[in-house]
Amino acid sequence: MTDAVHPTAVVAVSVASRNPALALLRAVARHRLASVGLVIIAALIFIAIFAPLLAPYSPNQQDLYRVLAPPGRIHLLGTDNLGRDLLSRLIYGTRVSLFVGIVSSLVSAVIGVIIGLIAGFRGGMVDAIIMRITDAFLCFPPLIFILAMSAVLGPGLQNVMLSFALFGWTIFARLARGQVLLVRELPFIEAARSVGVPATRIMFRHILPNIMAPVLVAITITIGVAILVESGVSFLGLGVQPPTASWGKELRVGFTYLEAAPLFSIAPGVMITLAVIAFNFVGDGLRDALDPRLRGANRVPR
Amino acid sequence: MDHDQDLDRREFTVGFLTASFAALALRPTVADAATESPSPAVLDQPWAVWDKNAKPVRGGIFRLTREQYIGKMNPNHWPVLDWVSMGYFHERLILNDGSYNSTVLWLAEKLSWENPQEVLMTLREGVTFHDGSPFNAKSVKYQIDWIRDPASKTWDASWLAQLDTVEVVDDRTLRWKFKAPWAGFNGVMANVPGYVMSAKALQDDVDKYDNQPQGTGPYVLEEASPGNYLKLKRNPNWWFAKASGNPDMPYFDGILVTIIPDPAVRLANLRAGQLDALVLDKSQYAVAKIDPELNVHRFPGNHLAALSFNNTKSVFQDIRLRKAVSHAIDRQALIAGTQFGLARLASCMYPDDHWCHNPNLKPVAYDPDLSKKLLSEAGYGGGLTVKGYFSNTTMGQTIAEAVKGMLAQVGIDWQVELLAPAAATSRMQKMDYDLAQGGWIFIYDPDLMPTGLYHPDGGFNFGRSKNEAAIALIEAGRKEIDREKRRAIYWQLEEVLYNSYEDAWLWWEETATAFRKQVQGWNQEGFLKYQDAWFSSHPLWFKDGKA
Amino acid sequence: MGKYIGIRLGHALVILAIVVVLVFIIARIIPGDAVMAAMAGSVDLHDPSVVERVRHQYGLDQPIPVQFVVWLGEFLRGDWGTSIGTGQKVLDMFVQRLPITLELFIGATLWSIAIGIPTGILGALKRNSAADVAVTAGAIIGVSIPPFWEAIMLIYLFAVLLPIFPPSGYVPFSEHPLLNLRAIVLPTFVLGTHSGGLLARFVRSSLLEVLGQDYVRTARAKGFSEAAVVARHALKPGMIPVVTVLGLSWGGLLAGAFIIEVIFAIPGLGRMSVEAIFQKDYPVMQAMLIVISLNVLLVNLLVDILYGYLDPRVRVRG
Repeated sequence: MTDAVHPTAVVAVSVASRNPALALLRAVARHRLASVGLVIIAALIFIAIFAPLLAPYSPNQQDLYRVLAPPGRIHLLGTDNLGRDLLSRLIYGTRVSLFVGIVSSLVSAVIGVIIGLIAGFRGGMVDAIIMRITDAFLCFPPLIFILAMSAVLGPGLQNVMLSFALFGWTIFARLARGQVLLVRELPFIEAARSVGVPATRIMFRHILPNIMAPVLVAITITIGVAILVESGVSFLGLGVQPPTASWGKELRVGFTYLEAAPLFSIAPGVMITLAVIAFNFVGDGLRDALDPRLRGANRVPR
Repeated sequence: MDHDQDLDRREFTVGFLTASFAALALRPTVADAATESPSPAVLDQPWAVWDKNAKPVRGGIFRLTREQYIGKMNPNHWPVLDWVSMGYFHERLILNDGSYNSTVLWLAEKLSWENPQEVLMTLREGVTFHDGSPFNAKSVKYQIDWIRDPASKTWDASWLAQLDTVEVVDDRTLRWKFKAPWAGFNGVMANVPGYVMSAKALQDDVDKYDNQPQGTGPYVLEEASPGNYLKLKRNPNWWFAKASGNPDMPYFDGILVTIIPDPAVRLANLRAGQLDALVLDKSQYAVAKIDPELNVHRFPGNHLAALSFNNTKSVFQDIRLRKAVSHAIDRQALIAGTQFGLARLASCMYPDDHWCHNPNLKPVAYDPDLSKKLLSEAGYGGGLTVKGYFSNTTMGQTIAEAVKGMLAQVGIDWQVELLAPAAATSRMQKMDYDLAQGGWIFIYDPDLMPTGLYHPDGGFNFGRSKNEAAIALIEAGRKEIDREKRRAIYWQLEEVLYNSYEDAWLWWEETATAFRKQVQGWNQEGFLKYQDAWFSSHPLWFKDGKA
Repeated sequence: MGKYIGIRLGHALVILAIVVVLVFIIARIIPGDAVMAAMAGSVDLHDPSVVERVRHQYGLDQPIPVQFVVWLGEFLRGDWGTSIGTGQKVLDMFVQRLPITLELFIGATLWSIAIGIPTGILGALKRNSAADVAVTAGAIIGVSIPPFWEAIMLIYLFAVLLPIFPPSGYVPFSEHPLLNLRAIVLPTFVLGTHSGGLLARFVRSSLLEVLGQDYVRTARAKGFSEAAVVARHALKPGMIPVVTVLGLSWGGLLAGAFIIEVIFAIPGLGRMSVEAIFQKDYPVMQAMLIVISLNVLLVNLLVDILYGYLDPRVRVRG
């Protein structure tokens, strides 16, 4: 099975530079689209952190005599079906989306990388079994698997993140394993082995730091995917429970009132799109920056 | 029975509307039709009046939409998710009048009470099922016995529990014997068990009936695409057209019902000319009303929205807490915000246009200060946490959130979960809640709702309510044949439930329907006055016979 | 080549086995109470013997491994069970809706080719120009827009504001070809933009790679015009990934179809699956999950074999 669809490429092992993080950031910023993405992400993080200060109203403050109000001076974006200020709900929704996106991605990464490390390092039967299991999970389109898991686990944000991680680990497992295969034969690894350094030590102290680069790219892009998936699941009815505001949930409710209050359908969608685009741009930029010779995704060698 | 009010309520109303129109539009074509004159029993009714100046035109396919596909087409099998369409091909023995009393004889021509435990029923003649078999006493008996047979796996068998036997006296006459005086008999015959089905079809292949019904209705099922649409075509042998002397009924050549889950998409289709009539989502009422292409009508719906207390196994055993909840809710605001003004403030169970409504009871006042006082009296001055569930539709979510907000204002944290019908039913059965969605849809015979909600045998009680005085009154009401005396019993029942704050009643429904201008024949006055009966006898038509 | 196919096939079978077990586990984690609740209207659940009967009827009283074997046997024999929600046979429901969803896929694929290939070529030819940036940005936007939002916006624009396309519904092709095509324009377009964006980027990068090859440079040195170089030497090899991308985005199309069918009220497999998941209609859920994953598995297998055929290096690394 190939994973050419996932826009994470094989990256040549980057020789540790003096300050890799800063060099990376500079390289990314130079990339036009990625810098736009960075700006957007920064803005979103700012909004999420300072939500209580930025939001003009409490997101849960109902006003039943002023439901689905059009945008105006009192409510800049109008109100939702319970008279709550839409702008405030979107601002607070930023917290939910970013939280879900980042946590889902990180948890998937942690689980996946560990499994991938083991698979790549051990090789043989262990590797074969893990890879087949990974392939089996990847037979399901992400949304469908996560939807089914969410339905089984029940509504709620935690369950969405859990469902995502139960699927998302596969991406990182395959990635990590592929990277390990590249690095495994390098001299300094051989040396460590022959000296008798225990396997876990080799995996985590020697191999892991060298494969972080592509993993970072994957985490960034996965955050975007997670946000998209969460909004999809919330749109279909699971996920976030009221009164918590999530972009996907707002979009769902807004659709019911499409004609009465079109902004209710437009605004949440814009937020989701912006966030996902931003993470995709940055992920792209990261990948290009990490290997300038690369001009797009390649297949991961088996 | 599905507890999802917003769905079924709208569907049923439009279904009834259409069924009625459909009913009117049909005309039987019996060989000697030319010589038969309209049956006086039919024309003797106050609702059997048609506008002399109107010139109905035959033709066209009437296009409607429903939120869910009908499911099973045998009304006694679960699930039936679209009672409106059900009414196109199935008709009942008795219909309800303008105050939801089952007084209108439809497929039953005569009904006389020999004694409180025995009814003699004469069926209308000249009626045939869609499959050609005759509608007669034998067929009705077969159907009733079939419903009561456990092997048939019907969900409404318990509604006939009071029935002892039904016997065929002659081709057109049945004798019904009850185990005890059964005042609700008419009501049940005007409800699900009263939808007449072809005995022949049931005998030939009962499983097939679920997807290929054979009723007596004005329209015949032509094609069904599950989840997608229903196609119905005109029944040229419809009995009512002949019996009423309106030979051209029903006027439409057919009906097309498409399934569209989203309200915004439904309205868009109406506007785009893809639909001819639509039950509006309440948020769309204001927008549709001013649309020059549409005629919008608003009328009461006989559904009740309420909150249900677990009176036996939760904190709500304490009447002070029930009072606190009921007074904490601003019903006016709820109606304004969640129903867009399209609902009637409820005092108790029966809507204000139902014949058993007790006018002496007033809606519970909005008094949050009283709520807080009662809460601290009961020992919950520091806050009360209760759990429960509500329907997970958009409307259900909106109402739940609004109520949750109101309760929070007085210090009650209602941890409400939004559940699909199946999960909600499960909770209800296990009494795993303190405060949950309640209410009732299709309030016709006055016994069904209180039995279902407050009697130990009721299908929606499961032990959560055990008000002895109420139970005694419910049982008395079943036996009282005299209408006035019966009404008095139900007035008392409402008072008992009201004073004990057995539930928190919120509102009685209203519905808004939009028709494209080409659709003719609607009379708002007539409908408001005679409801079901009007529906069934006054079909619509297209101007110039085209959609 | 034969060995390569053999290995791939072997892998696929193992994966299939794991998938089947996975699906079974997912579907059975659903508490049995869900089945009970679904039956709530048609049986008297006060009566424990009735509950037992229904359990027995659905085989829920057997130990799990037995249930698995029984279910697998029935499934392979074509008995996919009966839907709890509609009472129909699952296989019948599937066969009924398959052509509808297939039509959506074909339409979506056509759109993505129409959108993806020209823009990808454009981006590659005009590398690093404003047009290229636009293409890359556009492709990312296409992949990032939530398909359900795109659908809602399109409905609003083209069905509410400007009534060009019907807002929903589906008319079978056999019944009315024109209405059918009109009805699927919007839904297929939404699906197509998503995979079209992906395709554009792949075409672009693949074409760039090819354009950098020696033999292309040789062709240029020989004096051919740029257009001729592209058309005769670069285009065909550059198109190889198209097939793979289409194959690989098959899974994405499947997922997208779910939501699109719900929004546009199209009675296809996607909508059926979503309803089944929400109603915990596990016979339908199980069948659909197997079919979907089998689908993706087969497509990937074909793509692997095709790739192995086209690119010998892959065969060696195997």
